Amino acid sequence: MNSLQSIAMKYENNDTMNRDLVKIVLVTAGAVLFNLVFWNEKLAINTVLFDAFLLSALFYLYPQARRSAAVNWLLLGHLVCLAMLVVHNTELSKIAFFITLLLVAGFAEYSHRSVWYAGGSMLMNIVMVVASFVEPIRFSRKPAVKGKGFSRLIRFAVFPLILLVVFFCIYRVANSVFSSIAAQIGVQLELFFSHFFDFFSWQRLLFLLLGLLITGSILLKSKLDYFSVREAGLNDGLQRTRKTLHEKRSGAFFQFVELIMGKMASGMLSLKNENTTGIISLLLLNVLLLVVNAIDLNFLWLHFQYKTGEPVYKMVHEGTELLIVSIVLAMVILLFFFKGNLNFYKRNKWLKYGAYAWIIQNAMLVGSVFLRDYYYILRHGLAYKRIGVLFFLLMVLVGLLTVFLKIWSRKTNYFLFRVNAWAGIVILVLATTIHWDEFIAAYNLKRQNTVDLDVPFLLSLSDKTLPLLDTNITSLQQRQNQLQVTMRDVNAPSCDTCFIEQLKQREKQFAVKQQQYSWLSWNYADAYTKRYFQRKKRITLTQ
Amino acid sequence: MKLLSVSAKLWWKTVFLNALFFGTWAALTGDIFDMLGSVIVLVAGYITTVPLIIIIAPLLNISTMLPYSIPARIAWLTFHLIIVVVLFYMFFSVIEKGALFVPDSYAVQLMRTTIAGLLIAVFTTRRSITKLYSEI
Repeated sequence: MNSLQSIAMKYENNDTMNRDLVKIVLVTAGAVLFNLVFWNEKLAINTVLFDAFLLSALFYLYPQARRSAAVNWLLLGHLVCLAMLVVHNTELSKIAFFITLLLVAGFAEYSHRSVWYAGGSMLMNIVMVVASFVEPIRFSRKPAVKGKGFSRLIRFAVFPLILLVVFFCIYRVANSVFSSIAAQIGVQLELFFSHFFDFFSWQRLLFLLLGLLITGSILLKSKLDYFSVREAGLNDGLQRTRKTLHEKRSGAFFQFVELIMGKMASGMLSLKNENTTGIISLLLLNVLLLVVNAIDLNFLWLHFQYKTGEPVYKMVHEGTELLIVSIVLAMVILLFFFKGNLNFYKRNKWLKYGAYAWIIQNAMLVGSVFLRDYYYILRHGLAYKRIGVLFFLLMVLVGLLTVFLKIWSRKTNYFLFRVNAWAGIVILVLATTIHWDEFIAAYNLKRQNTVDLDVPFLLSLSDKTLPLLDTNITSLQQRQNQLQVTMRDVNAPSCDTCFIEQLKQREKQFAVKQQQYSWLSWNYADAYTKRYFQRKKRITLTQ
Repeated sequence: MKLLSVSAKLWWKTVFLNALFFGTWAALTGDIFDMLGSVIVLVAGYITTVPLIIIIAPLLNISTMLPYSIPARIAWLTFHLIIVVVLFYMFFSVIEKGALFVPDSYAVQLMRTTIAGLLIAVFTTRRSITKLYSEI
């Protein structure tokens, strides 16, 4: 029996050693691949090669992950982002690609349900990557003997080296022949090192190290599973807990509430008092919001008119930011009231009604902010921030819905943050499917007679918009000149060809950039722009 | 106390080796002023980098708590100390030149020699570090 056990243990040890070796080989191979495909290239088709390697290695090292539904859904989202990176090659698709890749790895390596905790685990992977890489390497088990080996050599070398440097300096100053020989040796050494570093670039070495860190962070699971252990103790459903006054008082927040409420916060009727305070607060807040919503309904929803002389941006900028803050604050207040045992209090009916009314009113406020943004877009066209507000409002709506669900079905804050984070990931993935620069340019140019075109902004958009701008450049120029006449800005320099020149400059820059890249940087967006200018024969591009 | 003494050991060795390497490199390239400058690097290095001990000691303390083997913990510590060195010289470069990295500047030269010094300092202090890990 003992011999059988020892054989089994031996096999187990061999298996662990093999797996460790495989990990190191895969991470090193990944770093080399990273160096080969990304050096002096942009993220494009090369990402597909690197990603294919990473995902294969990940599922080889953590085979159980293939059975996880969360991993499969995330993988789908990640592949959408990868496809969009090759097709649109936008900054958003690159960011989404990295976020989803990290999450796929986080969910594959650890046991998670929440994106937040998986993100925490991946952060731990990044911080611990060096230790995780060195850990599988078997070092000699012999204890280091004091005063032996390389360490001894270093210790013996320090003092003679100092003496050598000092006397070298003295002889060099004192003896001119020695000085010239030393100078010649110095020149030769400098030459040697410059040639050596030409062949063996420092930047390339650092880039390899970066590849090692990135591949290691994704493939090597950290031994610190703090976040997965923490998450294992969390549930979606709220549990009723009984806390002693002593336990409650240990929290700083309770101490603050007690300071304001006095004995009402800690006595026998504390839950009832909390309920009453909540009802009064929500009643007052609902009345206040009703007034604001009534004003918005009248002036914004039903009888909106652009005021002459007052720019639209004033109305949007003044209103939007504060309203968004108020909606987020509203959710925080609701989370405060429904944080604990008030959810289970029998007479909380009116508190719940007040909360639902406030959620509905806040949803209406979201609608008002949306209308402000919409009117702004109608007058000034699309821009990044205006689209950003729309996405933010969508997230806020999801947030309000989940707050409602939390109160209705007695869910925990963990549920709330988990669902909202997943919603955020879905929205992020969907947002990558649109080339926003092209969308903005197309939308604004199509409505050039109704919106105030910001031509310099359009010229600052990514290269994919160049063909579109090139087709419309004359009308853009005319538009700009018209605006100058309307504004009667006599001091402004006349601009008959400046936009055309700027566009030509952008085309040239695009051509120069494209010549620096190899097939590894191929992406549909650049290929489309390249083909357009090749067809126009405006610039010659090497294939 | 042991933690602080090991941190101080790592610090003084790195500063000393940095000055030594800087001087040796200057001797090899035949720059006499830089050779003398290594004395300034030594003295100024000790004065300006004393506060770094308050970063080195917590890093060393964190490394003692990691559930990894001793070589892995030492590697983790070395890597994070290198990051501290790089950040220190970036800060130094921003104050001196107004940019994070200026190629072939003194800051970059010193950063290279400091990293080399740090690697040797960790290597020659590994017994004290190992002892610290086994004690805690």
